[in-house]
Amino acid sequence: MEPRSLAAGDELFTFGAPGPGLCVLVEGSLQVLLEVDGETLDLGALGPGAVLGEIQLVDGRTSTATVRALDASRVLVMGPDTFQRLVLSYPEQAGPLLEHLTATLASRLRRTSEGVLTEDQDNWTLQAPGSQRSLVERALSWLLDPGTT
Amino acid sequence: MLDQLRLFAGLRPDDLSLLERLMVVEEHARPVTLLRQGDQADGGSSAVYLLLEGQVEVTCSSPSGEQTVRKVVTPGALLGLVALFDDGPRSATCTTLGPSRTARLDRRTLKLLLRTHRGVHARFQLLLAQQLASDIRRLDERFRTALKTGQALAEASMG
Repeated sequence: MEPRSLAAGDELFTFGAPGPGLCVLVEGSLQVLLEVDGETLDLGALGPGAVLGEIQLVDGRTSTATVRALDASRVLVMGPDTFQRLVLSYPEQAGPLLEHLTATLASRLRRTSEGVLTEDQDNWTLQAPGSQRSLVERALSWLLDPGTT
Repeated sequence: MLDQLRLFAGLRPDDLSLLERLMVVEEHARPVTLLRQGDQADGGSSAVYLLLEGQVEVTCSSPSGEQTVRKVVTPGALLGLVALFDDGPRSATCTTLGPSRTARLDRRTLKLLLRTHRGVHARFQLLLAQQLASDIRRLDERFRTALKTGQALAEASMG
């Protein structure tokens, strides 16, 4: 993994744009922002030890949230290309990381599909559509977690 | 069999051959429930199914007990991944629609395979991770759509 330094305000992930891949926050703090229809929801802050970018690591696609440094921060980064080479060339060494990835993604998929949305024919609705606060609380419950982006 | 599925593109021929030998192909003339929501993954239904022919309906019951169709999947889909890897209960019920053919890989066989063939282990887990990531992105899009709808409803109710 490669070290990378961020100044306050730097974007580590930008919604809709390619991102760096898997990131481990070593020092500092990161703000997670969810952009929906031109509105930005602040989903709170992550501290040292947070792991982000599992989805992007395995599929190499664009970021699903914006993550910005709140202050001077240091992260360790592994890009999708490096990850693919690791898996194909060194499967023994890649084993623990792959197990972490599948367990994290499976857990997140379960919470997302069971806890946030219900489907009525072709229409998906939030289970608690009563207020903006409840929407944000539910978004927080699964987005502020390993695998945010 | 497996080499025709996009899901397994990239696996070496000998790995594909090994997987084929370990999978049990089952023909279903009539609709049959492969996995049932709430069942424990380490119980009798501890397997992953690969759909080879036909269609499978994936349904979920809401807290009130109402059954809703989440999706209908086509050949190439892997079913039963989530519970297999996080040891939780099945998150959905999967039922074949009409005549179909599936390949079953049970939990013990899969674990043995993963222990003894690290190359297969890594490749197979990568495939699983990619499918899970794809499912999460699909739900993420639906979450955004639902959030927009919720905001629109809230704005409309406020006049």
